[in-house]
Amino acid sequence: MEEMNVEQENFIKDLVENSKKINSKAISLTRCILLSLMNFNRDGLQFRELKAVLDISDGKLKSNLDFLEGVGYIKKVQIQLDQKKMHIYLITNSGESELNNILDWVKILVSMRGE
Amino acid sequence: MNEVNSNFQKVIAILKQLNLELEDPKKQKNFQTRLVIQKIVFLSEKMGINLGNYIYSLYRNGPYSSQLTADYYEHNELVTTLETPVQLNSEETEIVEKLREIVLNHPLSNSHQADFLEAVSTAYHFKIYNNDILDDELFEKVKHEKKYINETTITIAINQLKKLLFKPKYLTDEIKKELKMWDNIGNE
Repeated sequence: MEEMNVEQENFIKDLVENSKKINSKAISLTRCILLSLMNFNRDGLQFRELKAVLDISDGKLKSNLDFLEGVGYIKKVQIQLDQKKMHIYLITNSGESELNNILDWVKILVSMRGE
Repeated sequence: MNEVNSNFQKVIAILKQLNLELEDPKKQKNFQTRLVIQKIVFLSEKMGINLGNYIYSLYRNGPYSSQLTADYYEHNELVTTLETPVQLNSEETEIVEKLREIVLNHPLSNSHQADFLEAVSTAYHFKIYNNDILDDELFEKVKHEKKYINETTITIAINQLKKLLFKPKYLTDEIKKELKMWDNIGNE
């Protein structure tokens, strides 16, 4: 069996060390998508819009939003739209920072493919 | 704070022409203001007002430009004061007035402004990619993207969109003749 060279060793080290920066509870596919959508749409997104995008049940969406709100990655703000009271969800600085950690880790994975 | 770019100055000129009373878009609760700006700017641009660098994407939440968001978050005070050195030319003013007459003055804009603007702009977005799309197909596409907007609003939005896209040059002598014939039937 061939021994790992220095470059490969550094890569594995990077991959493992950077993975520690990620809150593993936040990195489910649904939660990543939610954070990414809110990071792109800074105006805030309504529950009904998120439901249409993700096409998942109300319960599943609500529990994921509640989780992200609970850890402080997103916030829920009450708004009035066409005289109706509803909520929008917005990413927080902490959510943005978590998303950046995830993206940095994914970049390391992508770099593996290039080698 | 960066200098206000000329595209955003023109956005303010459009809002000023429409005499819209908007709230501070930077305040998180003022979602309706942000939505109205996004849709009005999208429609104005597609109808022919050159607003340069605003690139729109659509994924279930209607046409949205993140560059425009960045501009009204940075220069939020201009949305409420509507101060701008830019003046719309006569062609641009005509476009904005058409938008006012057909969309903003429609009764649905009083009670369901957000949904109505979303439906018109989403239908417009699909129309850009397929100008020959049939009404039924357009309805289905908008309904698919906007499940939460009621069918009456979507139908009216598509009808108003047709008026918005209508150009006087479409009214050829042949069509005028036919319209006159139909009018005369009523008088006989």
